[in-house]
Amino acid sequence: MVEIIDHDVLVLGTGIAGLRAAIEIMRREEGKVNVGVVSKVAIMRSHSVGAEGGTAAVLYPEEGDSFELHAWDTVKGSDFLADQDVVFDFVRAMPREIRLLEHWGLPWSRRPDGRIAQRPFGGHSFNRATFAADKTGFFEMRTLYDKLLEYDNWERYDEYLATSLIIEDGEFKGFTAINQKTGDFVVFRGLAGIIATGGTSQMYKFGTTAVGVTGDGVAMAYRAGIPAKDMEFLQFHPTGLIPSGILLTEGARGEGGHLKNKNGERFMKKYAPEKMELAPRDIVSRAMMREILEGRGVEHWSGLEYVYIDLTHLGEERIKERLPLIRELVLKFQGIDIISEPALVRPTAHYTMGGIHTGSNYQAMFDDKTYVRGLWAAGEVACASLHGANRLGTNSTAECLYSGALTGAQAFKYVLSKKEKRANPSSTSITTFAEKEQKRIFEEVLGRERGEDPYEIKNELREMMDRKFYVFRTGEEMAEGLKKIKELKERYRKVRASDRHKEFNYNWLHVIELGFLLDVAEILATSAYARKESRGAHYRLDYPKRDDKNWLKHTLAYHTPEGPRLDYIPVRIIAWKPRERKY
Amino acid sequence: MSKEIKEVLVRILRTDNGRSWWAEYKVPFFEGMTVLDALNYIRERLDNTLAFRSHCRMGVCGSCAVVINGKPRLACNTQIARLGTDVVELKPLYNFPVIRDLVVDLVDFFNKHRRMKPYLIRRDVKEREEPTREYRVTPEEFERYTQFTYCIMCGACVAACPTVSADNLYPGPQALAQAYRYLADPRDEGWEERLRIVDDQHGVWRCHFAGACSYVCPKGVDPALAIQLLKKELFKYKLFKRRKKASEIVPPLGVKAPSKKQPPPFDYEFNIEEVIKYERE
Amino acid sequence: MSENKRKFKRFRSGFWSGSLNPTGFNLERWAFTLHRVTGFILIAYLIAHLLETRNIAISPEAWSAALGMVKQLVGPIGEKVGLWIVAGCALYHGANGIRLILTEMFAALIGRPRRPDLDHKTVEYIPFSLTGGQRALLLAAVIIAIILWFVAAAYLFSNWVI
Repeated sequence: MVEIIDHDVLVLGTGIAGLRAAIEIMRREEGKVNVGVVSKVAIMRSHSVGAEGGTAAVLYPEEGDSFELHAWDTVKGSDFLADQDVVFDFVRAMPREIRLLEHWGLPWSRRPDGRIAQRPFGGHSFNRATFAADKTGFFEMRTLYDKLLEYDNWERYDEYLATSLIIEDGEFKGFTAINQKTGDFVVFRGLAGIIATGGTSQMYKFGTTAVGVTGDGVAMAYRAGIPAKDMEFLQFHPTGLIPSGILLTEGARGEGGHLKNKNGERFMKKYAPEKMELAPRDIVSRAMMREILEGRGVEHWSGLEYVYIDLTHLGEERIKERLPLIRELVLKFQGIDIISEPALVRPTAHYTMGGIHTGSNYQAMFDDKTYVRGLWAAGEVACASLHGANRLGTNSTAECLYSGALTGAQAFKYVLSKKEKRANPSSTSITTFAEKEQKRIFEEVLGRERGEDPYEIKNELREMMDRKFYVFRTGEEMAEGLKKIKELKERYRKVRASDRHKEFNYNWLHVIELGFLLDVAEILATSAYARKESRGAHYRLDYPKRDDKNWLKHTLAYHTPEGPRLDYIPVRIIAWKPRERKY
Repeated sequence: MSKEIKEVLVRILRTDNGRSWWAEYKVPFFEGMTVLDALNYIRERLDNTLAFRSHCRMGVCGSCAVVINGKPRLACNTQIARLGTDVVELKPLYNFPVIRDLVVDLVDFFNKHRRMKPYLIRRDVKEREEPTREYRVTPEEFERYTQFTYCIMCGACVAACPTVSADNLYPGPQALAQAYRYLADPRDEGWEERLRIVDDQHGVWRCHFAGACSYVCPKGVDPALAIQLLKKELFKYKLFKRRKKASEIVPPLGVKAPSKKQPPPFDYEFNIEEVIKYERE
Repeated sequence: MSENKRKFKRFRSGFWSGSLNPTGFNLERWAFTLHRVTGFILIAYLIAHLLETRNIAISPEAWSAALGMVKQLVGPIGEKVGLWIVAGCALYHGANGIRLILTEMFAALIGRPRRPDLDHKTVEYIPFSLTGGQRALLLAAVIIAIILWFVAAAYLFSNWVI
């Protein structure tokens, strides 16, 4: 008999977006709605703690900033693929979020007179990046977790890996999960659900993300019938340390760092003469890769080539005050002190602009018109298309806060209206579904005698994605990559986990995560191959121009047994028509 | 290290179902290798059944705290070349119940932290829920508490503390340092409640300044300093029963500068309130 | 969600091996261990001393019998060595105790909070409370205790009378 756990609202994922959604539900009339917070790692370990740069908000309109300017920066940065109604609502909600966090105890860095300080950042035309000593994501997670401890009507489920969503008649019913501590299979049942599981960048070997960022939410929704939107747009952050891929924050360029090639010249003036190093990330990544491909990069012993980022002219005081974390990281992982020498960097896979298809209120949708009742998505995993084809720096932590607050409020109202009617979820269909899922996970993976090694398949996938779906893409390479992914999926059908323990069987959990990764990689490859233009982070050498007449639309990928089926929906434009994007 | 290391011998104290034994593995060495790289190599190539936690690989999440050569540290932050030897001994964290191999149970640890009321307590409820402007914090006040906010809750200090080994009810250096962090925050008004929680027979008075917690902390939080300052605050409070006022909101910025940059004019007429309301129906 | 903690093997190091084993740690933890060990020795001596000297209240014969028993057990030199060890314990416990009172009650010489990543001199962070003024106080306490211990030796093992 499978254990069933009941809650009113289930929040899957405990990054900034998930915790903010849980707090929003608890803040409104505490005690009425109980929340279950489920995560596959312990509660302060989610990858949001790695975010370094800051959070963008219009805090000082008296000093020359304005909401329209922030919206214009976001829309232009997204290469005009963002849905502009979401952008306008987002910029108006951000100052309140920053001040709320400050009232909850977050130590934002201050000006000498005691007000909150802001600093310049890439792609923004005003200094609006609010920061907390270059560990902004960590402090936001800490503050949100501490605030959540104030309330009582919630339960924590640490280290439960969710394996599939249960959606019936267009309504969310719950999801199935594995308890990592004991190896048991459980079913979570809820009236409403919020998915906040994060991105998919572990498909690439050279990436900034943690080991657990494997696209669980996107793959689970995809298998349950909800389409994945715009998955071909994956952002490559310009400055990643070699050979591990760890992030060197954009704040280094914001404080005044210079990018130099082998000959010591600042090559950005050829590609973005007005903004130089503070151009949006896709332009800087392409500039760096072009320099490397034309032979002006330096070779490292691990085979990767790199360029330099020079911070020596900033002076010791400024580096120690504003960029202490990256000084520690470069010292530890490369042995270089940035006060006296430049660091070695290369573009690295960082952020997924695409994700679960949602409407402008972050509620999941099946297509252009039908909503999924009771299911919302928040944070990086959602694509209400706030970021379009390329994301500006500091807009992601802002989106997590904004979408977390919005989905929490909506889930609260929905559950209150449903509790009055008190519709009992039907148990029989859930148990049959759960038993089928249990058989799939336990017997097919754990029960085999002989099979493939999952770590080999994972290594081959990650190295192939690094070569074929990187900053510059071509048609033939993408076709080869797609074929290789289909071959790996065939091999995955016979994979085997050799560890037989019940508690903390990481081998088995890695096999399940590998299934998610292969699905997401297939969606990315298919969508990227089909889009015959270059826009934002997706750049093709055989179609190098942007094509607004044919391709100003979002890609939707639906699940079929042979592979993803693609469909297209238009972009919502309410303020600015697309025009040429020059920096 | 003067001689070149080619291969590292990793000895791990493994536990399974009540039985413990030492397992040995040989791992090839490359430049810049961390202990976490060695553990990943063992799990992928040599022995699939090894269980250990890891997540961020860069020393900010705190999942991978284990005892390396006798000292509790983060596995992803420790370079093997800096250890000075080519035999690496790994044990699960002291003072925690072990589930399997290097994985320990953290439920008690998080509960003790929660008991300290680690959130900002303030009386003006309306300002907290509908903020107008921020509270004023000058740079001197900022320096007084920011060091203790860096805690990533990895558990290394609790593993190193001798009082935690002896006393089950002692909250541990992590919880007490967080209690001081909120006490020293100039915006907080809850010092009476917190001082009453820590002023207990099994509270802050069990600390005898062994200082091992500060010695092993991977982020430099220095919990020993926080606990001694907490004792001094408690001592002063019991004698004088006085406390400074909490911070206030900053006054509004009166000046309105002209915008230096303007976005291009809109191409369509729209009213954002009506657009949003229509879509959220 | 009740987890069955009883199932997992308890790895708590326990009172003796956990709190009294300072190998691989910092100086202050060695000082703590020594403080606890000398505390045990002093309590044992106190109890023994009380048991011995209460014989004065019983009768003069019981008192000399008790003194004779001690001389018989360890010998005349052993008695003096024992007293010397106890004197050393008391001196160290007292000096360290004064240092603890100063740092714990009045937060003397332990430094003020400052952000650890502002001033990276080495790859690992340096905890400010364990270096600087407090370490000097610890060394001063230990040196004073050792000096007075040698004075006690001179007093016990020679014919010098103050």
